Amino acid sequence: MAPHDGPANRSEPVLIEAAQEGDREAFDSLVEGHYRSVYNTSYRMLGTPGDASDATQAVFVRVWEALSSFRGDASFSTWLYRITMNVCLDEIRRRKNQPLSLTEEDDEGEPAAERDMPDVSDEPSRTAEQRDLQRLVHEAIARLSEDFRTVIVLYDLRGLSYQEISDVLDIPLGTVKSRLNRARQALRDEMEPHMELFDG
Amino acid sequence: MTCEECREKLSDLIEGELPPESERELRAHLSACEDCARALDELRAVVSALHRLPEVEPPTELRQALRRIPDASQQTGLWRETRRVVTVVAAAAAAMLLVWTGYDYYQSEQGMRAIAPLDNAVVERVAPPSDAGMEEVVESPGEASPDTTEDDSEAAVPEYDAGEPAASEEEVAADAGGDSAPAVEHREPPARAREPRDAVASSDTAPTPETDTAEGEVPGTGGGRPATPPPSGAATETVSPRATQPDHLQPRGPTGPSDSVRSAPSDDAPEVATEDAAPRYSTPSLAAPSAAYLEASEGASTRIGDGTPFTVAVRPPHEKVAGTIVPATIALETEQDVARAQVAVTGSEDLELIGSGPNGLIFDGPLTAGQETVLSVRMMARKAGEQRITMRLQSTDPIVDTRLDVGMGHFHEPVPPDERLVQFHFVGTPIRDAVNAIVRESGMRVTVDENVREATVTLRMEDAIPARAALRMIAEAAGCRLVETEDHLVVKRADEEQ
Repeated sequence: MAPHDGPANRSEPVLIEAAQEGDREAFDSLVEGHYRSVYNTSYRMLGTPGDASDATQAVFVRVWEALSSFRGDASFSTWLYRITMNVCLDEIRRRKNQPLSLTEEDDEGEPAAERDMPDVSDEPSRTAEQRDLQRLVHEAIARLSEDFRTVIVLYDLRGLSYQEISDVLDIPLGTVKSRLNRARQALRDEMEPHMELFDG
Repeated sequence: MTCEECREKLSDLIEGELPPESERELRAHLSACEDCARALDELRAVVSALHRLPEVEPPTELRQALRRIPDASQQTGLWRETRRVVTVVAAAAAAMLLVWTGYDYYQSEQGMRAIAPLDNAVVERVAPPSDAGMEEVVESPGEASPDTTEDDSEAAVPEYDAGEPAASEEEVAADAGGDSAPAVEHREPPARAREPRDAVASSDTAPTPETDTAEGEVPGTGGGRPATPPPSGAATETVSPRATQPDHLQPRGPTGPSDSVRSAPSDDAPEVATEDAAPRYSTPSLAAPSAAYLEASEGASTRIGDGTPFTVAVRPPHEKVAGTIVPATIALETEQDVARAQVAVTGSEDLELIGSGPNGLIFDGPLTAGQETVLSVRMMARKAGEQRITMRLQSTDPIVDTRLDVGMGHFHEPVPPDERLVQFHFVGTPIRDAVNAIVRESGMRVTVDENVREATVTLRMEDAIPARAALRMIAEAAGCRLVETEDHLVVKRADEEQ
């Protein structure tokens, strides 16, 4: 690597190695390259911007602390997705065990969780119809089971390959395919009342 | 096939994952079974809607919070973490497969001939010759570099070059107009100005004007290139199994791929054997290209190879649709002027690249430091599925021969006409014209019933929407409705009886 290279110009493996040795700028460059992806994955897994932000921070804390255990022969992206999914699934399971927090009401009697609802108007602008559809899809995804939501998010939203998903989730390739099939059917079922929106 | 069996396979059908026999069987069932056909349409619609979910931008505070992590190294947010060791299942097999595949490709294609090689004469000239020649070269400037035949030959090369400023340049860069860059380093072995040496398998011929020009343009790169081996951290992305070069194989200059200093196992007979057969390559002493893999399904960038001045940003096609020609871009940047670089691109098995030259050459020319060169690559996926391209970049100054496998992401089945996005502004447009516009744009099959009165449509779409939705809006605006027949839609007056 030429001596005059700044961190922004370094390739990922070089950044990883530097970060493993405690180079904060290198770590920050890694963050820069991946945090939007982690955020988007978390957003679709957890449903709200607040949770997605928290998850993203948790992910990168883990990355910083566990980077030494990352071996260079595996894909950093796969490793990062694994951490992200673990963090998200932990949160999903935690929620299941603490249902009361979801029904906490604020002063006005609105369920507290609603205040952190995804604000679809933040998303890139579309026609009203598109925004409705997007909100519906987003909410339908949130109603899917863990397993189904995971494959839908990784495959259809993040564009990972079957093999990558198999690596991230540590499940056989065949399972990825069949789970995806059932997940999509399940999503379709969740959207049953609104199928006419698709027909236009 | 039962309906249940059919439903289980619909997703695979959409993804192009069915073997031909199963697909035939499935389609046969679908043509006979309305329920399953509708189920397929609905599934496609769901998948389509998923693909249209946009990326969301994180709140700005998040980025700031992430910056503080190394300092704080503390939990923020909803949940407390117990420290958990993230077990990394050795995905080595998968990762290696990716990289090794690339390596085998290189092997089988015999190196530089795989892709339109740079002018052989040029490459030979700039490449220090095989070891015999190397020794000679080293001795001639009077620099004692006795151990140059070992791995540190890399280090040795710039050493003697540094001691060879004006002399070699004058001799060689006659036409160049006197680029007075000193320490021009590895590319200018003084021996070049001498008689061709027999030791060099690919013999030096008289300098061609092109060559001289190329070398004459050599910028002052000497200072920038390290004489020390590149950091071992680069190991992850390059795969060359050759670590230590046998005596008779000289790696290229310091900017060459750093394989030779990587601490990989050194007994790599097949590779060595190949390299050994110098005549097979036009440039026998060129080290194996570094290989790396970049996942660019959402766009990504990386430096190419280790210790090279090149970075590349790949933008895959926005619409990853099979069966259509879609464009991707490759933006190339360099930190130093490069007299000549070649970029060649090849696609994965089902990905056809359109319009590239022989062996996939898409660029052949100079690169200017700090200036972005954007190359457009048009491609068509023959079927749905994961698609990749392999990008090979070669240059003579600095000597680089590096390959990058880039994941383009998942290409999906073509969008049915109903769902193709259209966007129009209709202002007082007769309904039949409006319908025709949508038909042309989407490929939908639609007719307008003769009883539909002349009506005009004024409709402004702020964004592209599915053709069917657009059609419905137009129909409604003109007091009509859509009626579905066996194979097409009819726009009919709303007040008409069926």
